[in-house]
Parts: sequence; C-alpha cells; structure tokens
Amino acid sequence: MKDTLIPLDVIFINDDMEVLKIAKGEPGSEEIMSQDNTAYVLELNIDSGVKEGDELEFEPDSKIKPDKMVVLNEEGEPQMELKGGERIFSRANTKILIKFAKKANITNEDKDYKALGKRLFKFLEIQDSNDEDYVELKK
Amino acid sequence: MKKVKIEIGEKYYTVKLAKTPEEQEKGLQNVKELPDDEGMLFIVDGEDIGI
Repeated sequence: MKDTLIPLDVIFINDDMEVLKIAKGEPGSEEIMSQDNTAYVLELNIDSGVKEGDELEFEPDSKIKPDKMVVLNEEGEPQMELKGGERIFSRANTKILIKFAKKANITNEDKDYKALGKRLFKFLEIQDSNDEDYVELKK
Repeated sequence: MKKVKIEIGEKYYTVKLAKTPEEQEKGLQNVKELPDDEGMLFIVDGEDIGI
C-alpha cells in the first residue's frame, strides 16, 4: 500500500464468493498482505463492516430491488406481503427442489448438491428478473 | 475502467473493476477520497496474491 493515500479494508475473497480475510491497508505501508485461494480482492474504505464469511454478490446493472413482494389471490387482490428478500416457490417448484434435496442428502455426492444448487438458482433468477410492476394491483 | 455493482455484508457498492496488470498495479494509488459506497475489485487468476 505504498502509494495509497487513504486507509483501506483489503478484503480477500475465494471463488465461492466468501470473504476469507480482511486486512487493514495503511497508507505508505510497505507491508505485503497475502492470502491463499484468493479469487478476488476488494478494496473499500477502512472499517467497512465486512466480516469473514460474508458473501460477495454481483448485481446486474438493471436490477431494481423492490421494497416488497406481494402475493395475489385469484382476483388480483393482495393476500400476503413478503419483505426483506423473502422468496416464495410454487408447489410444483417446491416439489422439484425437495426431490433434488432428498437425492443429495442420500447420496451425499457433490454433483447432486451442485444439481440442487443450480436448480434453486434458476428458480430464484426467474423470480428476481420479473419486472417490478409486472402485475397490477386492484385499487 | 469498468464499474460493477456488488453486494457484500448487506450493503451495496459500485466498484471499479481492475483486471489488467497495469490497472491492478495502479490500484487506488493517489486516490485522496473514496466514498463509502465505492471501491475497487481486483480479479485474480486463481493464484495466491500478495498486495
């Protein structure tokens, strides 16, 4: 951090997107910071609040985080509100996820856990990529 | 330099992406002020890195 002018959090992240270590980068310091298994290094202002084990996620450019998601009944009236990033899965998709989860649990094989993860990610991605106002609420 | 939006530790940041050796060498040198929602992300080719 020889030529940096400001103190930084130097955050080492592996390719599972997990924070391995946070080092404090002092301006003008000659100290070398290193970490095995690093896939990304993120530099932020010091005391960022990032901790070991935190996960790094990339956000698509066009993503708008809705404040809430609303579950509608057949008449289009709000039945239930979801806040804080909760997700809801259809009965059919829940069955699929349970099937994959049960298999992975029995075989305990990486490939089965990977298949479960991929399927889960796909369901989440479909849900998250719906437009914010793709449904109109009845007044 | 390309910017990407990331989320980490329940906060959002817009960070510059440092990919080339030149970009990574330069890093955040000579930056006098960094907003709390900005930073720099270095992509490492799976090798052990020292900074």
